[in-house]
Parts: sequence; structure tokens; C-alpha cells
Amino acid sequence: MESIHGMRAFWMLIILSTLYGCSSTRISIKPVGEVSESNKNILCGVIIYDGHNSDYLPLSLRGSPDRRHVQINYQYEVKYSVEDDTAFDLFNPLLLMGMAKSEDNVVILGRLEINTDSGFDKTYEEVIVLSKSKTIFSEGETLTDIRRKGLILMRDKIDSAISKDRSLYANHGILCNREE
Amino acid sequence: MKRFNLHGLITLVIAAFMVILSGCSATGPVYQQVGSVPEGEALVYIYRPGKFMGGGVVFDVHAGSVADDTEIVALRSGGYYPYFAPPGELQLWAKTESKTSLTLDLNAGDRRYVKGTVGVGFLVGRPKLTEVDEQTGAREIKECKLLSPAED
Repeated sequence: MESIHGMRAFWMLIILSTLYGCSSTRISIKPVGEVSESNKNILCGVIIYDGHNSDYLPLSLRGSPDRRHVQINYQYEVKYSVEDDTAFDLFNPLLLMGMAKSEDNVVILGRLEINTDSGFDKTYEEVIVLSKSKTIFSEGETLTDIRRKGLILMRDKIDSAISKDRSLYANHGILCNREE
Repeated sequence: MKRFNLHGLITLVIAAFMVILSGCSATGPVYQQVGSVPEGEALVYIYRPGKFMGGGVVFDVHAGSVADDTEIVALRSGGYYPYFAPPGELQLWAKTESKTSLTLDLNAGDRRYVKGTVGVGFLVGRPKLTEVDEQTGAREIKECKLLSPAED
């Protein structure tokens, strides 16, 4: 009788371990960003942006050649960190149960500087870390996909921070006019 | 006598295995730094350190998305290839039973290092591509040999 209970427990453990493997590919985001689609085109000025894709530029910013006295500089940096599998993984039976074999990280640093000729200076800096663990059954999303998600998230976080300082920009005349 | 034969057989199998694996390694000239990057372009060194694990797996590295794909090189263990690209976003990818892909932001005059490795897969080794810093890349690529570009 005890051996039957033991066998049941063993098979339950196998099934649970396998199911755990099905869900072990994940993306965790630290910290969680706030998405704000409603705060578009708040700040007007000369935009300096080294990136090659305008999708990643905060939506709150709008280039305005008439406002040369306001300089808006947005930069981001992406760093990849990929763990190598080891020779031990070749002989690790737990991998067949769905145990994670390694983890990849994408770290994104974003920086927005707003300066005016009158001496106004405001800087936003954000860091986002996106992680995924890999199993022998699934590699999860590619680093390209994770990077894109992270840069959109960074854009939204910066937008969210700008919207909170709306009154500050109104006082310094940096907000866009209705005609702009 | 029997024991001697068994040892001989094991030695023969290991030797054959090593010969087969050595056929998968890069055989070109040893690494030489590219003197100058053409004006208005960036240089991406794609390399793969020589390792026993996954040494028999050769994978093709591609540039671009599915719509505008260019095959760059068949990346062998211990090989490298210097790839010139215009400034902008560059997606590099490779695939066996799973796909690996990363995107770089390139500026003119950049020198970047993308490292390829092979990880554990279900049926076959899985390719991995990642960017490493210049210090690490410059150190690891010294052991690598030049690969031929992929044929169009």
C-alpha cells in the first residue's frame, strides 16, 4: 500500500516538474513601467536623438525649429548579458523535467536632458532590466524582441515622468502651444 | 588480449571523433585586426571561440529581417568574420532548432564584437549570439581564424 502511495507521489512530482518547465520561459520587468499614451507632444524644442528608430523616442517630445532656445537630448544604451550553457547541462536529467538551464538579460539605460538658454536644466534617468530563463524545450523570445519591448517600455516610462512634471514645464514656457 | 583490443577500439573511436570534429573547425588565416573601417560604415566582428562542446555544430549567421535577409557567414567553431554595415539598426540572427537574434545600434566608425556559442538543445545544439565589450571581444578573437563569406 505504501509503495502505491510512493509511486503516486513520484508521478505527481514528474508531472508537476514537467508543467513547471512549460511555464519557465518568462520575461520579468524590473521596475514595472507606467504606460501613458495620452501625453503626446507636451514639450517643444530642438530634439537631439542619436537613435535610428523614431518608435523609441518619447511621445511627449515634438521637434520645433522655432524653439532653438530649448534643447531636448534623448539617449539610450542597450547591454546584453547571455549565460553560456555548461558541459554539465548535457548530462543533467533535470533539464528534461523543464528545469531552467540559463538566463539572458537585456539592460536598457535611458537618459533625457532638457535645457534652455535661460538656465533651466532637467534630467530623467531610467534603468530597465528584462530577463528570460531558458529551458531545453523553449528558448523564449529573442534578444531582438526583448530589446524592442524594453525600448518601448523605456519610452513610456520617460513619458510618464514628463507628464508628472507638466506644471514645471508650463512655468518655464517649454510646453507646446496649441498651434505648434 | 581482449582488453588490448577494447582499448584499441576506444582509441580508434575517439581518434575518428576528433578527426570528424576537426573538420568542423575554422581553417583560414589567424586573426588580423582590420586596419581601417570604410568611411560611413561600421565594423562588426562575428566570432566563435573554439570549444569542444557544440564544436560539430555549424550555423549560418544572417543580417536583416525575414523580408531583407542576407546570409553573412557559416560560423564554425574557432572562426571569425569581419562584417561591414551601414549605420542604423542591424539585426543578426541564426537558427538550428531554435532561433537566436540580437539587434545593434550602429554608428559610422563603430567597432563591435558579436560572439557566437552553442548551447544545449533537445535534438541539436542551439546557436546563441550576444554582443560583448571591446576588451573581451579583442581578447577572445585572437585565437580565431578567418572564415569565408557565405556564397550568394
